[in-house]
Amino acid sequence: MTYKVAVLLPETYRGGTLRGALNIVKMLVLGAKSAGDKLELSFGHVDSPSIYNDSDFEELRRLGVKVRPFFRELIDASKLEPIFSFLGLPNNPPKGGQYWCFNDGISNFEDCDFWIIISDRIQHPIPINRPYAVVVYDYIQRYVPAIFGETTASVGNWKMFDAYAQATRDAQFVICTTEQTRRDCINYAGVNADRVFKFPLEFDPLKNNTPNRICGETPSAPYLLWTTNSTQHKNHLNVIIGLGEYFRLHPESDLEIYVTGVYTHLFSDKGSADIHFMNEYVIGIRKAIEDSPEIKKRMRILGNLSDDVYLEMLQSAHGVLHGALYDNGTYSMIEAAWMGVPSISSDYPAIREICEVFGLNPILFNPHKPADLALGIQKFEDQYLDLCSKLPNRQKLQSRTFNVVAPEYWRMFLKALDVTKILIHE
Amino acid sequence: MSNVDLKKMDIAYLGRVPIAHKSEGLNVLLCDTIRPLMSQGVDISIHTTYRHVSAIRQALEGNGIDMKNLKIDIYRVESILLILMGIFDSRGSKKNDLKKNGFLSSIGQWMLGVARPLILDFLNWLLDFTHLNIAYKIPVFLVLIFIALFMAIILIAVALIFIVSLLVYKFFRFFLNRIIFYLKRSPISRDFFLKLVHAYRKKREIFQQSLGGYLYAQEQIRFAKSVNGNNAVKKLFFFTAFEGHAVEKFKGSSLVVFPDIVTSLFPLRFINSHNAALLKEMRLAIKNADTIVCYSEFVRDRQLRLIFPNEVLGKTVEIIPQGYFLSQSLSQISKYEASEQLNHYRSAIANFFPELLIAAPIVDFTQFSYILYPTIDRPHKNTLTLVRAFSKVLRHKYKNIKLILTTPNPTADVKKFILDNRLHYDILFMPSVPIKVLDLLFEGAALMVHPSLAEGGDIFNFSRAAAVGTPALMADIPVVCEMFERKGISKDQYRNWIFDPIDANALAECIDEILINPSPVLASQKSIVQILSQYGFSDMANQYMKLYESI
Repeated sequence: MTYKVAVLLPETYRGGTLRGALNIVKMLVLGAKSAGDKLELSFGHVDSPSIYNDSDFEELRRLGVKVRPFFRELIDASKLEPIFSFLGLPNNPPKGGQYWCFNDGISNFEDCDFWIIISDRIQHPIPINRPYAVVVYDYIQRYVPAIFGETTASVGNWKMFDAYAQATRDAQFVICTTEQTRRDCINYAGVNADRVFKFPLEFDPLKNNTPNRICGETPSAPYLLWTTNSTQHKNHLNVIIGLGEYFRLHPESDLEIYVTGVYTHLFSDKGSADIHFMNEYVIGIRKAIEDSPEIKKRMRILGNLSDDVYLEMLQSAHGVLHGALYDNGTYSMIEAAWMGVPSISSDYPAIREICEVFGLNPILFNPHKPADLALGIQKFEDQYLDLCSKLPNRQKLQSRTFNVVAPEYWRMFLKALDVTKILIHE
Repeated sequence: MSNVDLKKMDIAYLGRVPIAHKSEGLNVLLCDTIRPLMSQGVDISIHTTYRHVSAIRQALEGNGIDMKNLKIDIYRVESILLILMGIFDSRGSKKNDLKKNGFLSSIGQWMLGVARPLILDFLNWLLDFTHLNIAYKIPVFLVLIFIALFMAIILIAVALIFIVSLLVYKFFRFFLNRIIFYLKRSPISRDFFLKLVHAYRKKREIFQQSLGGYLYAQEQIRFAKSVNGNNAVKKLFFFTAFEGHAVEKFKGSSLVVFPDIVTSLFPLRFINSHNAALLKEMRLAIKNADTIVCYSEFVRDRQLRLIFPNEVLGKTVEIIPQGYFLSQSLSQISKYEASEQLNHYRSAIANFFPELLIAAPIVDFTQFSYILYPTIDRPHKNTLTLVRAFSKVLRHKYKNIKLILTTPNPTADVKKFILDNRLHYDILFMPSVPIKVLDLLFEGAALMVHPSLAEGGDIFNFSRAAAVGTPALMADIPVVCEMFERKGISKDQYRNWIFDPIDANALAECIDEILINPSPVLASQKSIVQILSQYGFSDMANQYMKLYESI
C-alpha cells in the first residue's frame, strides 16, 4: 500500500508555523520509513519568491518530498456545482460564494489521496473532494479576543473565523499538540470530539552543535531574554508593569531585559517604526515603556534576530522570560533549556503541558497579575542555581526531537486514519 | 364522597399583556399551586377572557397541567383594541424561534436535495420531443401555458398597483415638500416643528401606556361584572396584584397575591419599566383585597408596607413561601448521561449574535462543564455580573467551561458585553426549553449560579439544582437569607455558597473554587436540602387553599 499525502500550507507563513510544517513533513516521512510503509508525500506552499526561497525546502527535497508551489485560485461555486453533483458528494460544497483551489499547475494536489492543511486560517472555503486533516495550533482569540479586534470594524475577522471553523469541522480529523487546543477544537470550533487527535509534541533544536552552558554559570552582564512578538496576546503591558515593580522594589538589581521577536522593533522609539504595523496597541506599549523610568533604563529592544544571533544571545542570557496570556505553548523555553538557561514563564495550560512533557522546571507566574511577575523574578533570582540544576539534560530533550518522535507521529497518523476510516488507494 | 372532593377554587387569570411563557415565574408558581390541589381532587376553575385563553393554555400545558381536569370559564369581555395593540407589539418577536427550530431550513434542504432534481428531471422529460411521446405532452404544455398566462396577469396587476401607489406617493410627497418649503420661510420657527415631532415621539409611548391602561381597566371591569353574574363564583383567587379594577368591582371575596415590586428597589435600573397604570392597579388590588399573600417577609415589610402603607393598613397579610422544588422527573442520572441526552436538544441553542456567527455554536455537551443560570433576564437579574465573572473564569483561569442562559430576551447590556468581549462561542442561549430539557440542564450542570439582586420569594433555582446534586451559588440578598433562616438554618451554614452580587471578581474566584472542589458545598447543600424539602408545593398549595376557604 502506498500512502499518497499532501501537506499544504495555504498561507504565507514563516517563523514557527513554517518550522512546524516542515517538522510535520519530516516526521511523516521518517515515521513511514521506520515503519516500512510506502509514502509519497507532496508539500504545497504559496508560490511567493519574496517569502520563500529554495533553501527553505532543501531538506525536504533530500528526504524525497515533492515540493510543489501553488497559487490560490478562486473558483465560483456555480462552476463547482455540476462536477460535485456528478461525483455524488452531497455533503460537500458548493453553497455559494467563492472557493479556494491550490493550483500547482499540475494536478492541484488531486493526485494525493489525503491532504493535511496547516493550519485552519483559511480565508475561503476549500471545495473538498479529498479527505483532509487540519492542523490547529491554537484559538488565542477565545481567551484574548483583542487579537481579532473588538471593534465594530473587526466583525469581518470573526465572521471569517466562523467560516473557517466550518472548514475545520468538515475535516476528517484535526491534529493538535496540546490538550488545551484539543479542548478548544471541540468546545470552541465545534469539532466532533472523536475526530480531534493529540499528536506528540516534538522539538527541533536550532543547532545541535552549540555547546551547553555550564550549569549555574552566571553571565557577566545578566539579562533576561524576553521572547515575544508585537501582538496583544503576548501581554506586554502586564509584563512591563510587573518588571517595573520588580525594579522599583530592587533598585540594586543589575538585571536587564532584552526584547526579541518578530516586529518587536516597533516598541522601540529609536528604530524606524513600520507605519503599516503601528497601531493603538503598539503605541500604548511604547508609551508604557516611555513612562517607566526603570524600564526605559533597563530594557533593550533587539527586534527580530537571525537564528545564529538569537542562539548567541540565548547562550549568554541569565534567563528567558515568556509572558504570554495564552497560546499553544512556546519553544523558546525548550531552546533555553537546551542551552542550559532557566526560564520564567506565565502560567497557562499549554505551558504546563510543555513543562511536563520536556521536564522543564521554570518559575511560573499569573500573567494577569503584574505583581506576581515581580514576585516570580524575585524567586527566579533567589533560586537561580537550583533552577539551573533542575533543567532537563540534552539527552532527555533529544528524546523529543522530531526524528525520535517521528515513528510515534506516524503511528498516530495511521490511527487517526483508521479511526476516521479513510480509504487510501492501493 | 370525602370533604376534600367538595373543595373548589376559582382563579382569575388576566393581565395587561397575556404571558404565555411557561417559564415565567408567576405562571410556574400558579401551576405549582394548582397541580397538588388538582391531585387532591380540588375543583379548579380558571376565569379568564378570550384575549387570555390561548396564553393560559400554553402556560398550563407547558408546565404539565392536566387540562382535561381543569375548567376554564371564558368571558366575552376582551378589549379588541388591546388585541390589536398586542399584535402590533409582537411583530418580529418570532425571529429567533424560527431560526432555532430549523423548520424552514429543513424544507430548504429538502427542496435542494429532493425537489430540485425531480423538477430538473421533469423539465428534461418535457423537452424531449420525439414523435412517440409528443402527443401526450401537448396537454401538459397547454396546462403550463395556462398557468404561465395566469401568473403573468397576476404579476401585471401587482405591477400596476405598485406603479399607481408610487405615483400617488410622489404626488403627495411633492405637495408635502412644497408645504415644508413654505413653512421654512414662514415666520414660525423650524424648531417649533422639530420640537413638535420630538414631543410626539416622547409622548407616544406614554400615550400607548395610558391608552393600554385605560382599555385594560375597562376590560377588567367588564370581566368583574360578568363574574358577578356567575352565581357559582363567590370568591376569587388573584395570583398577582396587577388586576386592581377587577378586584375592586368583584363583589365576592378576593385573595390577592402581591408577588413583588422589584422596580421600586432599583428605580433607575428600571427607568423604562415604570408604569403608572400598573401601580394604580396594584394600589386598587391591595386596597380592595380581603386577604393578601406575600411570598416573603422581605416583600411584605420592605415593599408592600412601604409603598402601600395606607392600602394595607388593617389587612391580613399572610406569608406563604414558595414550596421546595422536588422534580417529578428526577432520574438521578450522572452528569455525563445528562450531557449525552442534552446533545439531542442542541437545536435549542439560539444564535443571538448573527453579526458574528453564521449559525448557533456547535457543541458537544459531553466535552465541557457548564454553569447554568435559568432565568428570564430582566434588569435586576444581574446577569451581567455573572457574565463578567464567567469571562474571568474562562480567560484567566483557563477552565474548560461554558455558560448557559435560558432567557429568551437577554438585556441590552448583557448582549453588548458578550458582543464586545467576543464571548459568543462560550455563552450559549437555550431559550424557552421544555421542562424536561431544563431538568437535564440542571442535572448536567457543574454549577448553578443565581446572581439576581432581588426576588419576591425563595430561589427556585436553588432547590432545582440542589435536588439533582448540582452545587448552587446565590447572591447574598435578603430573600436568600430568609429562605434558609425561616427554617432555622444559620448563616454560618450557607455562607460559603452566597456571594456579593456586586463583585464579579469575587464571584469568579468563588466559581473557580467550587469547580475545583465541589464536594464541601455539595455536602452542606445536601444536608440543608433535607430540611427545606419538608415543605413542598403541596404544603404551599394547602396553605393557599386554607386561606382561600377562610376569606
